[in-house]
Amino acid sequence: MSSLNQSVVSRNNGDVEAICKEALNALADSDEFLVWQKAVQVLARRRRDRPAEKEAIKVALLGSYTVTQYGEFLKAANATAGLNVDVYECGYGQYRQEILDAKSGLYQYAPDIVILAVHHGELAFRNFSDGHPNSIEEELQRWTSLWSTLLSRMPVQIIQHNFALPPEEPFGHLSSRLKDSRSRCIQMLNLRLGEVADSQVLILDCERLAAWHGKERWFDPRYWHLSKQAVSLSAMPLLARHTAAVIMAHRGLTRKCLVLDLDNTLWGGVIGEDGLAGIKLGGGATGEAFVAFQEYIRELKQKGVILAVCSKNNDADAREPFVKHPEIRLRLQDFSVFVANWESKAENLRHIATTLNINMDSLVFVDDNPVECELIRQELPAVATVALPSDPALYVRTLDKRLLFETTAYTADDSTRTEQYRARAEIAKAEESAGSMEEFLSSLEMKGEIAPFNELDLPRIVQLIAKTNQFNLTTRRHNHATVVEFTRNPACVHFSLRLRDRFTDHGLVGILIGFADMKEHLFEIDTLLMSCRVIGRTAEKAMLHHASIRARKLGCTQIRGVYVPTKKNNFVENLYESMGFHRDHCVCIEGSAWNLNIDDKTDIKSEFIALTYQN
Amino acid sequence: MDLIVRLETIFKDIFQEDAVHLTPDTTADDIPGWDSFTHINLMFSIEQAFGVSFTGEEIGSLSKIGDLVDLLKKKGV
Repeated sequence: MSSLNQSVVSRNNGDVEAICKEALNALADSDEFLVWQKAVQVLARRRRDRPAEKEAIKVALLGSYTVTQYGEFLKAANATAGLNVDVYECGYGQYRQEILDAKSGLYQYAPDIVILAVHHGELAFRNFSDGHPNSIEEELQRWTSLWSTLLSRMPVQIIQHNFALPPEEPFGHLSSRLKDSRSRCIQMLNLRLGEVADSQVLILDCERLAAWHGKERWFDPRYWHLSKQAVSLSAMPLLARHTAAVIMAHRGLTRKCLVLDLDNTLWGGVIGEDGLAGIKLGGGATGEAFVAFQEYIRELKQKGVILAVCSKNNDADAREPFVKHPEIRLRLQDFSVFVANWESKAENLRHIATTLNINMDSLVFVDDNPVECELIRQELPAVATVALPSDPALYVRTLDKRLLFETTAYTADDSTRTEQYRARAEIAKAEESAGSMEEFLSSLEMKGEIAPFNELDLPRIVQLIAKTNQFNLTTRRHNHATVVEFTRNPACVHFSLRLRDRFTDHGLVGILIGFADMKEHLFEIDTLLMSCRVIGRTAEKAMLHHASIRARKLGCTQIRGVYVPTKKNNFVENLYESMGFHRDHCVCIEGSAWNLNIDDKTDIKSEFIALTYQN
Repeated sequence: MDLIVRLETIFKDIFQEDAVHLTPDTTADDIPGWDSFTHINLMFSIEQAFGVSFTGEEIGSLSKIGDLVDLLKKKGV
């Protein structure tokens, strides 16, 4: 009841814009009728209350069946992309008359787009032709002559629905062998329509959509007999989204560039941690799913979509699989821009757009990490963000369903677009722009829990010590027995950090081990490491904050941090310096030592993570 | 939740009218905008929301809330 009351209150307050926005957002990845129905009604109400400001695209919807709901859903589908569509609807089944009569409402309306929403019931094909075989060319001509009439009278873009075959088939499987069967003729006609349509006629492939939706549900005989719905209401969201995608393509609003994350997006695992042999790509169900995703992306590239990489990685690590992995399907030269660094992704997307000289609203950003996706949604709402599901087997479908790359033509030029853009990228210079990292971090509502090592956590702790490469200051691979020994040493400070945010619980992700030298009043950090999934969250500050408190309790006045370089950890080379530590050149050590005096004024802390402590 | 309350939620979404108050005696005549076109949307929404399937005749003839509730109960809701 409470949610109901809330919606009543807000509606009465007239906060229509917010309700509209919320309703439209829900449509982005939903084909659920009820979700759409609600959004459609909310939008209709807004239109009644307040006429649209933007000039509308005028769409004439000429149907052989009841298309009123189609029109309403189409307005909603276009509104999700910020397009304002006005719909003219011809009388039920009057499409032919409206086109032929030069004085009809259709011509007075002067549409930008005419949609011929027709169904197979309009076709003259028969199963038994009684000596008069079905003529596909004759049927084809009935449709092309409608196109010619329209185009001779006004400059207009036509969108022709092709014909969904019904699932019921009196001739059964035999029909596919009978040259003159109705279902075979419909299939032939669909092929011919595609062949003869030129740039002024776009085909909406309803046969494919019906198959996708399930033909049994696409056509609901009850609603056909009751109210002449040849496409059932359950299929309306899908039909409307696809129609809107074709309209967007016609208006030149298709996205141009696909920006891809790497780890757990193009392959399974983390290249910087797992190495070339450890990532999942090919060789098994999970690996095959990543291969399939790469192959799908390669076809998008073939179609003319520009590819770019945006990954949090060391550049050399990120490039390695593209050069060396035997199962890789995409190559470095397939990408126009390749960005692998530790900057924020929003920053990097701005850089990619600038480099390619395209707008933000041309970008599609694909990432498996819901937090990165949310960050981009907040900071760069013009970018279309695709959050991948947890199962890589569903990656292709998830991206495909968003219909972001619908195009109206294919030329030889399209397949070489990447090369053109790569050349442009080489010339262009990176431009620095300000981010709002602080806003994002505080919006995450992060909560950290610090706990001394305990028996339950020990397996995870030892695993992190053994595995972590990138955010690991010393890379000392202590084994299980050694760690247990540490916990018995009173001079040893040891704790782990668990991190949660409003999206997810990251679990145990950080470890710090240090030893107090009571004589020197010096606290030295032996191990400081963090899982790469929470890099950039200021969790290291939270850990050092806690370490400094513990060190002072043990009577220390100075903290010493040590950095031991490896092939993988140059990312944290300057960590201590960035937190106000001073280099100590007197300490003889491989790598570098950094000191910080700790007193009341010591101020290392993360203002974005609320900490709790366990004893 | 009471069936009528659940129905009210659907009606409020479709008619964008918060004042909708349903009783078993409410009929199409009592609700402005409940025409034959909206009726189709309404019936399909109810089918989806409750996971039931009406016959064509039921869809065509239902116009009183009490009858609708009885029918939903008969279908196991």
